[in-house]
Amino acid sequence: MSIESWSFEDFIEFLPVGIIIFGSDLQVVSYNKRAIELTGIDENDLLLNNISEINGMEQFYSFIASFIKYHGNSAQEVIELNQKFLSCSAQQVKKDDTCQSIIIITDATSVNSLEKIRRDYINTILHSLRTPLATLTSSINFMSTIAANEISADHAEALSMSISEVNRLNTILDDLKELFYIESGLAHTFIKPKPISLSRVIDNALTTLFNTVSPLTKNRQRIHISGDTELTIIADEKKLSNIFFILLNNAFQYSGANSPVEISISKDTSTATIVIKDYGIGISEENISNIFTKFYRENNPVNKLATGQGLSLFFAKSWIDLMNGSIMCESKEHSGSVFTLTLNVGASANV
Amino acid sequence: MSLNKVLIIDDEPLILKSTSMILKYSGFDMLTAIDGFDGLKLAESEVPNLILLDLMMPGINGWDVLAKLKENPVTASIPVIIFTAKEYTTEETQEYSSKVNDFIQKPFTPAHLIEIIKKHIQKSDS
Repeated sequence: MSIESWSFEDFIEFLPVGIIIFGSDLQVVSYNKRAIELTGIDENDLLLNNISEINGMEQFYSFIASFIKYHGNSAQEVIELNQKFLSCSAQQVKKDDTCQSIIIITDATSVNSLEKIRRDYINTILHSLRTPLATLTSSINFMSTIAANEISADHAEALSMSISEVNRLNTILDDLKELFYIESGLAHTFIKPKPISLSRVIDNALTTLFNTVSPLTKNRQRIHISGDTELTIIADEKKLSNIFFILLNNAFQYSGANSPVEISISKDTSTATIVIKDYGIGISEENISNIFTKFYRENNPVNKLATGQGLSLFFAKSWIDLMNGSIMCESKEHSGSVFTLTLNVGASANV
Repeated sequence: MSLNKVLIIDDEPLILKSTSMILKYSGFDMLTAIDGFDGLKLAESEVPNLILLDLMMPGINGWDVLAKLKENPVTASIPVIIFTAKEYTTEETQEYSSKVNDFIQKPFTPAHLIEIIKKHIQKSDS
């Protein structure tokens, strides 16, 4: 029998990977034997039950459910199941009115056992560094609070330098941890998109910004917000506040002390678009494609004085991707930069 | 009645020492426990007004200490603040948010720690 006359079920049975196809209601439409071998699921359970009800399938269910719920086109995750590490790729297939999700499962156990050892090792180092830093941070801050009036100007300066360097160590450690989570594919466990108020997120970011950045930029008059700030969007509140902080901090840092920073918000049926525009030094044409790359720092006068690691825009892009949104930048040297974010819009009743 | 008795349960001796020094200076009566078993005993005998609880401890970890505190009628209503260098996942925060009163991530500043403690001690008083 030639391959042209095979049924779809015959065809997937011969593939060397596990395949499970879900309908939009999370019911199993089709699967092959390799998927049963890899996942260890009972065939009757798979056909008769919603997978959320099958014991031990929680992580698998959460991957599929969030993929279908947030309308991603494709996604990949390594899931620990049946004493194996399974690499699961999801792909959405739309034809006419039906929308199905194909999950392709491969065994990634040998690669992932090593990866797990590396992950545990780095996690332990990060935790071990954080504990003494916690004692240092609280003790130095305590000293500066109680001793402020009792020590000489030189001692006060030494204490103030110590605080600022301890804070810098904390920031470096936070960045390393975040980089580790993103590169190990663990970042998603700390990001859960849900309906949130856009105005609250922007407020959070502005409050942090005006509480932390240098006095030169502490001019709230520079911010101009227009459009629908009362929107409800689907995002992780803490991470989105961080993203706005990063973009607004850059907009302030790379433009003149009185130059405006504009935030405009618009939406169509399912997408919110937020544009952050500054009139600063801009980014050169040859460098613009690198700005979301980790450790990339453009060679400009502002960066010569700054202490960052070149990670913030890489983090912003990684987080926004995990929220099923997008980030883009257009810029012209000496004219300014425009960052455009898109995120899914949520129903306001859920806030 | 004084509402200032705070118990810290943490396996790091210097965290115990520095945190209780800071809180003593701000007028709190401090109790310290170097592991979960000691912490549970002290919580039952001293009934503090608030507990600061580390998560990653040898022997019995913070989540298990929390479960035992909530099972015991003597300690069930004491406010508990999770106090850890470990980053909690959104699943953990969701699962335990009804049982704990707050989360403080180490490192912390004294001002932030005191603000959070006062908030929860006042709440349980009212």
